[in-house]
Amino acid sequence: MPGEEEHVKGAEAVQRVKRCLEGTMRVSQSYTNLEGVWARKLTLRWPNGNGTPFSYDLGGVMRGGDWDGQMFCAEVKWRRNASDQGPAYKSFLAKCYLALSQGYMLGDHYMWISWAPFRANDWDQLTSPQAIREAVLAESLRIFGIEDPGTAAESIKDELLVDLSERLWLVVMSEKQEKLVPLDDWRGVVANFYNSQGRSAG
Amino acid sequence: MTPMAPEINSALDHPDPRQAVERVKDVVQRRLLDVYPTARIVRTDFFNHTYVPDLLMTWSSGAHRSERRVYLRASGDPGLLASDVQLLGREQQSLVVPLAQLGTGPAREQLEAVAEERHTLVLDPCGLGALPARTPTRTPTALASDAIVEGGRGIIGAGQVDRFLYAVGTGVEAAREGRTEPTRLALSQVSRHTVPDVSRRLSTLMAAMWQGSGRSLSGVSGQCAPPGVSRRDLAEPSAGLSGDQGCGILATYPTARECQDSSADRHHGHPQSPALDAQRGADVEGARLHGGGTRVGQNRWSVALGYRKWASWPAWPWIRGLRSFQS
Repeated sequence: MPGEEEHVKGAEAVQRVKRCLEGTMRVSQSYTNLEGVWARKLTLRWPNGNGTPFSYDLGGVMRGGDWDGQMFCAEVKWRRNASDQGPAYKSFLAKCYLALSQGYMLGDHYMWISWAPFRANDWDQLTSPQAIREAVLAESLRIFGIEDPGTAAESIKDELLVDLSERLWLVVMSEKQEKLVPLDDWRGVVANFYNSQGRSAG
Repeated sequence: MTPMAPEINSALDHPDPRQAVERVKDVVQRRLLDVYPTARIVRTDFFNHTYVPDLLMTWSSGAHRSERRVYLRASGDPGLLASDVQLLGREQQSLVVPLAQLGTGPAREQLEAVAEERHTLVLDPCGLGALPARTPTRTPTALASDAIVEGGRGIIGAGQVDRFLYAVGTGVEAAREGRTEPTRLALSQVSRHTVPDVSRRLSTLMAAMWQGSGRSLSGVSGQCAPPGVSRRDLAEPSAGLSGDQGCGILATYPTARECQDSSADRHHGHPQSPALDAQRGADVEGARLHGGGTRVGQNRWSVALGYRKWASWPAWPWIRGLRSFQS
C-alpha cells in the first residue's frame, strides 16, 4: 500500500491504536511521532552509515499491574494482509536491538502492531533471540559499521537478544475487536473514578 | 499577555517524557491559578489521554461546586482535536489545551463547530497566555475572564480573548449607559463563546445594568436576546437566582440616574461617586456569583450577593437597605 494513501491510512491507524490502548485504561500517557516535540522523543539514528534517523509511531507510559510506570514504543502497520510486513518486521527487530543497546528510554516494551498477521508458519519464532540475531546481522553495517557477517556476529550481545526477546509484543488488531471494548460511558465511569483520586490515583 | 508557548516548549524539552509531562502540567496549572486563584486543581497520572483529563479544576460559587476537566493535548492538529472533542460529554464542559499552536484551514472551522456544540473550550497557548491574571479589583473585564475559564466554549485564541474581554467590558459599560449596539455586541459574544449557564449570568448582569440606566428591557431583550438567554431571563433577571443559592443578601442600590439626580443623595446617605463605584463593583460581583439582580421600582434595582463574598467585598459600606432573603 504505497504512497499517499499509506501515509494517510498510517496516521489514522496510529490514532486508532492510541485510542484502543487508552481504552484499556492500562495506558496513561501516549503520543505519536506526528506531534512536534514528541516526534523527537520517538526518533533514533543509526550510528553508522550516514546516520539516518528512524522513528517509532507511538510511545507512552503503562499503568497498573506488573507494568506500572513502564514505557513502550510501537511500530504500527495498517495492512490488510501480510504484504511487506516480513522484511519490515526484520528491520524493526534490528532497530529495537539498537535502541535497547543504547538504553532507549521508551524501550521497556517494543510493540509491533498490525491489522494482519505475517510469516504465519514461524509465528512462534518471530520474537525469538535467533530471529533477532538474524535481523541484526542483516543491518550489521548500520549498527556496527561492519559488513562481514562473521565479524559482525562477534559484536552481537547474546544477553541483549534474550532481553529484547522478552520485551517484544506482537499485536494483531481487528476492526471488530476495536469495537468490542468498554463503551464510552463505561469508560467515563472509570475516568470519573480516577478524577476523584486526583494525584493519588494509582 | 504572558507568553506561554516558550514556557510550554521548554517544559516539554526534557528528554524524559514523564518529566516533560510533569513539567508541562506545572506550567498549565500555574497559569490557570494565576488567572483563577480560587480554583483547586488536582492532577491525574494521565496525559494526552482520550478519556481521562490531565487536570481537574474545581471552584465554589456560593454553595454550588463547579468543576472543569482539563485535557492537555500533544497535538495542535484541528482534525485530531475535533475527533477527540467529539468524544467529550457536553455536561463536562471540558477545557482542552493543545500544547502546540492550533493549525488553520477548514479543519479548524470544524473544530470550532464541534467544540461549541460539545460545550468545550479549546484554549491554545496564546489564548491561555492572553487571559489576565486575577487582581483584587473586580472589573467587567475580570468578570469576562472568569467567564472564559468557567464556561468558555469554542476556540479561544489570543485574538478571541482580547475581543471577548473588550466586548464584555465595553458592553457592561454600555448597558449602564443605555447604549444599544455595544450591549448587543457583548451579548452576542457572550452567547457564542460561553455555555448557557454562564451566558445567562452575564446577560442577566447586563440586563440589570440596562434597567439600572432607567431604560426598558425591551430595547435590548426584544431584538437581541441571544440564543440560550430567554426573554424571561432578561425581563426577570431574578430568575437566575432560583435553585441552589440558598440564603443570601439582597442589596438595594440607587440607579446611576438616581445618583445623578441628587448630588448629595441624602435619602440614601452616601456620597455620589463612591456609590457609583460601589454599584459597579456590586453589579459585577453579584452577577458573577448569582446571575443577576431584580428590578425594584422605577429607579432602583437589586443585586443578590453571596454572603461569603459579601464579607470581603470592599465597597459594602455604600450599600443600603440590606435584607436577608430566602430564594
